[in-house]
Amino acid sequence: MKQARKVLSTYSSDTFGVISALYGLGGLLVMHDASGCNSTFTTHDEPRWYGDDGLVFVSAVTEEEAVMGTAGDRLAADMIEACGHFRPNFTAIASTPIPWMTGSDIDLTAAEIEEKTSVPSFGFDVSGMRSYEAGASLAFLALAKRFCTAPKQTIKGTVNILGATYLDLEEEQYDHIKELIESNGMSVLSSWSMKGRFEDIKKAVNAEVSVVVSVTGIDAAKYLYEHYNIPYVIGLPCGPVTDKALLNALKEAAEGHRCITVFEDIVSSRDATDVVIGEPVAARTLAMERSLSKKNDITSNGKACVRVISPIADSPYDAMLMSSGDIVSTDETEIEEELSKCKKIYADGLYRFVCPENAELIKVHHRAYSGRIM
Amino acid sequence: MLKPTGLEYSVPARGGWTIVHVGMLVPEAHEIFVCAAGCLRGVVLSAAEMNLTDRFSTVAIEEHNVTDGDMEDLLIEGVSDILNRLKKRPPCVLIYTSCIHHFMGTDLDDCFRVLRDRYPDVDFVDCYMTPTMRKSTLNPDKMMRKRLYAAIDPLPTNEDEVLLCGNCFALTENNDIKVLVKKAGKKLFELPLIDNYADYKKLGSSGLIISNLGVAKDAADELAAKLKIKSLQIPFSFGYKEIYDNLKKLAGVLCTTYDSYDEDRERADLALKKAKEIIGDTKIAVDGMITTRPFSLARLLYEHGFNVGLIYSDSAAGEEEDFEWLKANVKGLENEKCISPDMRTYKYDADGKILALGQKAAYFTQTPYFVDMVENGPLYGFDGIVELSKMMTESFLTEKDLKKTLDIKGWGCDSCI
Repeated sequence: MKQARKVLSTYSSDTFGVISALYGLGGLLVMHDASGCNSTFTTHDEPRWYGDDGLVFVSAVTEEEAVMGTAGDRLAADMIEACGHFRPNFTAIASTPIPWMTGSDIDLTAAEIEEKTSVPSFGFDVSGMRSYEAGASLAFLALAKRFCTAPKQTIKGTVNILGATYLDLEEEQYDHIKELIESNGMSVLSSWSMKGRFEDIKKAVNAEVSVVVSVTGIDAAKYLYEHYNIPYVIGLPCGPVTDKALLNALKEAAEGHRCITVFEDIVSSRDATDVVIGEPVAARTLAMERSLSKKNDITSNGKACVRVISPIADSPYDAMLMSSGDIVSTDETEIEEELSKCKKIYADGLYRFVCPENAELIKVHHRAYSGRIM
Repeated sequence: MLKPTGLEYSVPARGGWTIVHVGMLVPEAHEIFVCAAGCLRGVVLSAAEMNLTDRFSTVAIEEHNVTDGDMEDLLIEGVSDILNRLKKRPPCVLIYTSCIHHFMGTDLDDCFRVLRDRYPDVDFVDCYMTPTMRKSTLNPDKMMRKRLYAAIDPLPTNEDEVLLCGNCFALTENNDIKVLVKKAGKKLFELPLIDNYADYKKLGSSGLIISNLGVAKDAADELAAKLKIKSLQIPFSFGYKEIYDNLKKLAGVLCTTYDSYDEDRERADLALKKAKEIIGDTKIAVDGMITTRPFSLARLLYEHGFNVGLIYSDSAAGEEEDFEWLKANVKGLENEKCISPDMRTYKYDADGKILALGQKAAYFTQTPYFVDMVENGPLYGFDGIVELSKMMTESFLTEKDLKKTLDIKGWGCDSCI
């Protein structure tokens, strides 16, 4: 059964995706939850929590409030009070299973907060039943729609980094991209949102091009392309091959106003015995790097010798970013079966329980999967 | 200053046990959580961090299950699929359902009936991760303590067997309870010390059940009713009189006498005096994580000359008398609620060294000098006070890595972090 997992972990949820995307931008973030979400998110998903003063709380909704439909009013009052105390840049409410199931009007609550405080407020009617990709995508798109409104004044050589949450990226990966951009005569105008600043989000309309480093940034990138004609490049550079490919793509995208996926020409072989499991952008770029690096090669049939399994399926881009030799599967049994044919597996360490004994597991930490476990 | 609101903050102090940790006390049991992804996230990683992934599985509820109305099928077939794929059939399976099952009126009785028919060799225990109902029914912690003993069936009663019910940690060797039970010629059983399922089942022959935690009282009473034996609650306390009364009550039930009060009290006094000589007037911060009775602890320390300046606790429920006494007698004592949102930006300006008792107190005061323990640890009674005095002295003299210590989930558990 697809939904039963004997031993595999769970990807972070849409609720946490919303909060992760917005954390660090000075917002008052509330998970509309009884208890437990705050501890889960801040323990496993948010490495900055300890000693930081980012504002994340739970609404502490009760059964009575959920049944009587009074949670929204109380939450609005609490958040209005908290706005006066904390003076946030914005507020956001992310729903969870019970408010979602009982049809709580999160948008109305957000609207009430905004009306009373004039603080921009968002409601995210997520269910807590989808993966973080869904939630983070919504949050980044909402930021774009709300704050990217100024007339465009393109600043040559500037780049937005989109989809950079701590769920998908390590700081080293972010630093690598930034350095790559800066050492090639460009600069980062805004980061969504690792090491980003709220005031830079508004400036994103002036960038020449965007880099999308995970699926979570694609919707925002499309929005900026459609409304501000900022082309985007999808890819998470992770070595000489993909570094170069990204730089070329950035140049080409800027010059030709064309959106590019760095691995779009790479088609993997269904028979490849090397596999990457992970978030599609990261996994496909890593597969490209490994396939085209000196030690490896394109297989005899002209296809890449490293294929990809996306174990997340909540974004339409998960499937769209795959090539013919790759698969999207959330089914533990199917993943185990696929891995049984593999010799080299690039995956988060918690996949070790389904790796065959004779295969080599190369650990690629993915916080959205294993949290703090390295 | 933020007015009290319903919003809640989570302190980055991870030592407290969750229902995952508690459930793992049933030896050889396998936990299966049937929940939405967001609810699964914390529990699945708790198990992984404990290196107990092989005793933990999940069934994810998806949006379509809510609209399709197939929650029963999902639970039954999901659990069956997992059991069929496990290399070894566990003797006991704890199935945790979540708030959504109860809001939707899922027929859990039928689910368990089908599973028991399918797997007659397995004890299925219904467990609950239902925080939305925390105020309207038993809170998840109390409920979990009850479910810990649910697979125990009555056996012929052995009057010489005493079960300490609901504690996550085994008592220290010389603990007052252990001494009394031994004196009565009986044997004390504690779940944290039982390492196989056969021995767990043998608890059904217990002749007496005692409990000292408030969250364990319902569990003790329910099991006692099932086994048709007596249940005795001897509440944890740091107050001499209360400890004395409890031990006397326990002795009576055990058909023995408690006659070492003077010696025990002197031993506790001496231990506290020694600790005070070393700790001096250093400010002490106490929290509600280290003990279920933070106000009782603060009072004990104040009465023995310690400089108790801060209490971090969300509630004084059950210890109103100590709370009022402290309010009336200790000038300048600060009391902060840990879950209050303004604690997120709280900064305590320490004027000198602080000794914290508990992880949250240590975090809020940012001191490397702290006693690291949760929920009374292995302590009880006068011996507990002696042991705590030693811990305080040691913690006062030795720095700990605050962040590293607080990062570890489930105090005392194995951790890969």
